[in-house]
Amino acid sequence: MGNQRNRRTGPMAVLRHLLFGVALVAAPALAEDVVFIGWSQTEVGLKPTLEKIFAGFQATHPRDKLEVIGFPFGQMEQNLVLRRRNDQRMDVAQLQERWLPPFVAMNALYDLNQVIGADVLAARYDPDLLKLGQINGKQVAVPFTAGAITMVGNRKVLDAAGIKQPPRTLEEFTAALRKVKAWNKDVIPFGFSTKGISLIQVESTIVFWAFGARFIDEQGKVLVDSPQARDALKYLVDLVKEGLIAKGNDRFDTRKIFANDQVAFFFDPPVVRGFVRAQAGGPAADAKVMILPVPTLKAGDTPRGLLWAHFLVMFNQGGATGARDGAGAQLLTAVGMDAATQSVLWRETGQIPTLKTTLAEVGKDPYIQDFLAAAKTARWDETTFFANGAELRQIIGEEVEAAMLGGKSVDDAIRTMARRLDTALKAAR
Amino acid sequence: MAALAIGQPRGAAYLGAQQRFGFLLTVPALVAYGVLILYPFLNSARLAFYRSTLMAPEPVFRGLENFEQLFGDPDFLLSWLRTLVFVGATTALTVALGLGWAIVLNQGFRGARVLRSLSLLPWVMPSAVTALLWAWLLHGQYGILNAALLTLGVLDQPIAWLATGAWAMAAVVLAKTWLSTALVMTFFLASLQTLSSEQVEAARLDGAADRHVIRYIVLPHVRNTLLVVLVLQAMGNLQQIDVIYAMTGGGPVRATSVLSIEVYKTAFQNWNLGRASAIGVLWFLTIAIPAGIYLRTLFRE
Amino acid sequence: MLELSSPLARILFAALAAAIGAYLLFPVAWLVATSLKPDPEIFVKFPSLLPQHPTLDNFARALKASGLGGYLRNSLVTATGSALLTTTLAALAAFGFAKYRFRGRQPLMLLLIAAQMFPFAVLLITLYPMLKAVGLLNTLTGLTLSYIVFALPSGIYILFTFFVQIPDELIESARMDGAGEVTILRRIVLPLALPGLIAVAVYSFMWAWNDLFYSLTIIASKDLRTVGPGLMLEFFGEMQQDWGAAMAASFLASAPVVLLFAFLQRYFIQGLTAGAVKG
Repeated sequence: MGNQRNRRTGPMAVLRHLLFGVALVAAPALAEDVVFIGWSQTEVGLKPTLEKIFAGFQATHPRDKLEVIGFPFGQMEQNLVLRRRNDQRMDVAQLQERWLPPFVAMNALYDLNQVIGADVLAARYDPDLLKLGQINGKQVAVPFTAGAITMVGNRKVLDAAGIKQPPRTLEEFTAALRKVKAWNKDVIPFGFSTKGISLIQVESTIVFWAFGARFIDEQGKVLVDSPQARDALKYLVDLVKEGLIAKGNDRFDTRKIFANDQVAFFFDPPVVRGFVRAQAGGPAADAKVMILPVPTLKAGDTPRGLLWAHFLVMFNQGGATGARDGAGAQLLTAVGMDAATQSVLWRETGQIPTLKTTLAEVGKDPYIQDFLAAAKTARWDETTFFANGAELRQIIGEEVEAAMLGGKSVDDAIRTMARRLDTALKAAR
Repeated sequence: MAALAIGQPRGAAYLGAQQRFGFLLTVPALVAYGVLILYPFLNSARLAFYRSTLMAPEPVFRGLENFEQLFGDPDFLLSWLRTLVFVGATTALTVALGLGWAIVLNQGFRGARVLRSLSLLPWVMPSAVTALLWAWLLHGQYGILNAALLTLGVLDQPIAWLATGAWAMAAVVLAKTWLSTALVMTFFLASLQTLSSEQVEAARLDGAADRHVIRYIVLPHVRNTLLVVLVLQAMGNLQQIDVIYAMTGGGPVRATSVLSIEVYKTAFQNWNLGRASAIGVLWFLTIAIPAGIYLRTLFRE
Repeated sequence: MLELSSPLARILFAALAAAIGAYLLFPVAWLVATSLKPDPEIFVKFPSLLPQHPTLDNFARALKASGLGGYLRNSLVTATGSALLTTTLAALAAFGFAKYRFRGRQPLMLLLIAAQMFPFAVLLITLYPMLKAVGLLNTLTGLTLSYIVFALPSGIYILFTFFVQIPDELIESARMDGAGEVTILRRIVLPLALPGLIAVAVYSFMWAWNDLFYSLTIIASKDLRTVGPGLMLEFFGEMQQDWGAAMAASFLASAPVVLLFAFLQRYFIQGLTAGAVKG
């Protein structure tokens, strides 16, 4: 009897209420660890701006400990997967577009409509670019920058070689390549990657599409065993034979050589401007970078590049919360949704902005216009949404390489590719 | 060794204590080995019988499925051959050059000391830069090898060495050899320094020429070092990934895809851990048998 | 040692010396030359041996790379730490295997050394969660411990061959003189095996120093990175391929270590000849 009364109003009860009250007040103020993982902040062009953002974030969140983790771009995906598998905390992560679907399939990401709010996102981001990060109705990613992999030309080289009009069809393109070679046989006419399986796969995809060939349909049916695919591959093989594509360079090598005016055309995403600036001495070098549509088979066809983007996502593990006002959400907002930042990044490195405000401010620039136009007609790589996409891409890249460098016959390569893709797709089911 | 000295009144208990002490000495290493090497090794070996991929990381038992897939892949079997070529060529070349360079430096001519120190540079340089350097030397458009050969008239067109099958293998062999020669040279140099000059002088008095000295005195003397170095280099070349991956990525058309590269790609690009572990198990079995035989002979000596 | 009495012998010797010397040292000279060249001089079909308009820009950028000193320090710490750790463990174990006949020593040693034959990359997949579980991920300690994987079994093997050569009589007579096992180890065995110990130390240092993959994966914080990944982060990336600065930086990072080794080599040789006299 006496005990019951004490439990409601006695000193212990008071203490309990007090503690509960303190907890309520203290909870939001409890320190959080918040983790950002990405590669751009390690790179020379973007480092100063991003580091300022991180410093600013830490200053406005003194009780939260911000940990910024950086890996070289080439090792980034690998480490993201490793950390995912080991349940390590990654509040905000920077992703290349093709790494997104596997993580989505693993249910590893928060729906940013819930975390940031669909209305907020729609108000801030360009709607077409925002759509890129939507998969199965969920906003799993927001675009940090976006564009497409399309054709890039060196104005200096083209002028010197006497190419007045950018080539629109494949026929014109081949003629232009021959003209470059005739002008100077030491300049590489077409800097198509011939080293590195994944690069070969990406770039050959664009060429295959130009010929109307496809690899796989959405249901997993292999479509590559077609005359169009054979035409595409034969085209590439012939270019190598004729010396219009050089052997042994990957896209990173080619970018350097391009920046030194020894390449006429190559495939590249929007980072090319930042790269050329860093290599060839600042914004003065911008003038020589020409963004061109991918050459098409027939005049009037739609040029199709590969969709390209850097996304920001939030992983849902290791203690990271999807709270609306959580440190993670605030970090994402600070890094990816600040118009002023995107403006600075555009000015300094040529990074294509994705926020409405920034695009309104700088969107008239021809560089941005060219890439946004390319992005409109660009498509996702066909292997992207398959669980074993990496394996499929490896198969495609290997067979193309075998035909281009190893003397495998076009017919043989296509047939083997189709067979191997089929086996891999069946095994994954 | 266990033979008791005659007349020494020591008992079996003492012998037992000795044996215990001997065993105790090995314990710290065994613990480190057990935790850091054996457990991961057994865990990986176990994974070889499971399917574990990116999408399905929870391992599902599949018996010999991974092994069947591997043996059914003709290119995988070629990897063995490539590995043999790479390891054989690199080890032989490294040991030969290391020994040769050690003999040269041992002469003690002026500047030998400086040369000796400078030879360490290839070995100390980070592998990312070694790969870049060699890729650059052999570059199809801007490499100095092509420039030299064109100038000398040996070639009339530059060759993209790293994009041409057999040459790519030669290139990675040269690069890895370049890296390791210094270490091997150091081992041999140390061994040569313990060669007593009296032995050589005695042979000279008997009328031995240089080549006799090398054949009958130097080579036998370094024999033990030679064996150790061969084994270590072979094992190291088997594990080599960094330089090859950075120079050729395993290409062109898999020409330089040795087993270590295959394992790395399968594990960290395709995330097919079951398959990667299966490759590891096969690799282990292939090496363990000759290794076991070799160790048996070591023990017998 | 060689007399080189005939002119032919001298010519052959000189040719051999020049060939091997050129193979080893020309690429290094080329590296330095390239890092002193401006880009337009590099991307030419017939590059000149010496820079025509030498520039210190690459070295300036290499020095400005803020992390370089730290990367060097971290590499030295982990490589030296693992060298010491590996050598100690290997020495103890090898001696136990070589000089004491306990049950199961053959299969045990076989297993130990055979496990060196498993691909390192696959081991890392299991090591990673293990390190995470004990909180050693992203620490230099964790990295140093992981480096044991590279050289412990080989180290045991190397030292085993050394210890096996130490005459049993030496040890027996010491025992008869009443020396305890530990004293025998310290006073007799270790001095004789010194070259072997140094060899193992150098060998495991080299493996750790040259490692790229383990340190790239285990270490995530910039200030704990070692030289290999550090160079990649500073100069290679999506938007940068600063070969010139990378070459300059790697030269700057390598030179101190080479000097260190050159310095230590003298003691290495001393230790050897001393051991030989005693033996």
